[in-house]
Amino acid sequence: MIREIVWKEWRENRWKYVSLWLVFNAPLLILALALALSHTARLPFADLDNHSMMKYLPLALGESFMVTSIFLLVTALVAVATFLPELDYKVFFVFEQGVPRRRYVFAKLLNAALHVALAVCFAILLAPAAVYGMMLMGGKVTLAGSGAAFSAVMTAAARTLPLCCLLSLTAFVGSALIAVLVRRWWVAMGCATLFVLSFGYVAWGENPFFKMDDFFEAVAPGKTMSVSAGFGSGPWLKVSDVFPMPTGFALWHWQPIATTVLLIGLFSLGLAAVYQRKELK
Amino acid sequence: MNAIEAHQLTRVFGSVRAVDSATFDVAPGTVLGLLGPNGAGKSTLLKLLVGHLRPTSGTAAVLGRPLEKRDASLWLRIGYVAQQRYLPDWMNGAECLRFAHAFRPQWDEARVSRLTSRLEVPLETKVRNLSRGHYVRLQIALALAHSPELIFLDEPTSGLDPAARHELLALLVEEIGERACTVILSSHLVEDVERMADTVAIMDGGRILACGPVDEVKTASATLEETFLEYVGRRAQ
Repeated sequence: MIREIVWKEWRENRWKYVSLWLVFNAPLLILALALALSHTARLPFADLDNHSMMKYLPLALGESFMVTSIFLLVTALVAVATFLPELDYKVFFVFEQGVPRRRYVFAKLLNAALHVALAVCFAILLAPAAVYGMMLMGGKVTLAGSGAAFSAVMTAAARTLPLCCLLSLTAFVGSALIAVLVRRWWVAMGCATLFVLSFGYVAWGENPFFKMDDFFEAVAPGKTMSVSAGFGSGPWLKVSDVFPMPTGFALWHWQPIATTVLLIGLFSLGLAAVYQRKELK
Repeated sequence: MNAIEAHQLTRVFGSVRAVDSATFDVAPGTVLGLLGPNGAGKSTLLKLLVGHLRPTSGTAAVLGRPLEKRDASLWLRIGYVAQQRYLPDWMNGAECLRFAHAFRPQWDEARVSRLTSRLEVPLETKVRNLSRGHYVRLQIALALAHSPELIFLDEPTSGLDPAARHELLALLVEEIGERACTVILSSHLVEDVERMADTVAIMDGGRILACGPVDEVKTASATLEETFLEYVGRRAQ
């Protein structure tokens, strides 16, 4: 049964998930294109060596911030597009096969959660790996001299994965619930956007439920750092100080994990209840 | 035990009583023709019985299971040909059948092959490109594929040309006669009901105006069509 539902979901929603992957990796694609096409964009990379590469490599950890802030909007829109269209009529074909409605919703959610989590993990891990690859291609950075720094950044990226996945899934399931409750395409899109903006505001604000300021503590306490970017004739990116080795990045707290798991659970039950009560009028 | 037992079954949409206090029984092996003009409440009644709608009031039991206690497994014992189009439009006929096969343990592959070839279901055509006639044929193949005990047919011949209608009815009569299953056929065409049904229920305005064996419902000197028109006309007055 699961295999058939996964197949149906893949055939119905594959382009939506592909767009999620594309958007999540867009910063990297843009950087790669800029480096490939513009000499000035390449300048900082050309000067890098084993000591100064740490100035730029941890910037790739910014993918974790992107996925859990601005890209939550894309996650929400994919959720609306995945859940909204089938609920009018199409889902009754599945119900008529004797599939319990709750089981179908949870199978659908599980499938979507896997796609979202995979896209999140891939984007967050690919960013430092690809940036490091570009640095190695510059010639002055060597594997032997910078391997430990790369390993530290990758470990820091990996530590962000659980919470980034949970935050993305909260936005996804919450938006899916909004979509099936609201039912009108543009209203659902608007409401999901509002929900994600509010959710992001609360999650990134100071409150006892998320504690995100500690989680993404990128710069060592007491240090200041500035990053500037421009598209002139000089280097496109300037970092005023070297990042510390990100050993303390992504400090785990139980509060954000518990809060997101609770929200995902509640939203999932809400979705199941809507599917359970759905009528074919 | 009757295949269907409905008591005061009612469904209200806003101020409209789409089905109003429907009370009737259907014995196993019966072919019940649900006859009524457009908007009489036939489709709503069928949707209530298959579980796609919840009743506002009243009770019903399908194959011994009360509506409020029914679960998804009842679908393995019933077949339903809906009037609305909701098969996934990106699937082709073969994919629809393969998808349904995965969920139904009593799937009869030999019967499906016979049905699809006899009905000339275009298996490689996407559902979105199927004509009304081909769409209904695919639905019938899906509804009969697991040899259900009870079949609901909601206006299966509406929108078909006379030749296709004739052919489809002949096939239905044959398939149903072979399995001796219970059938509820809704239609506004008296001819279809007369050809298939041994029992008839005349519906209008959400109410069942008459229900019983065809010969009993017909008045002595009238045809079923005249009787139907008389009931519907009397109500209109």
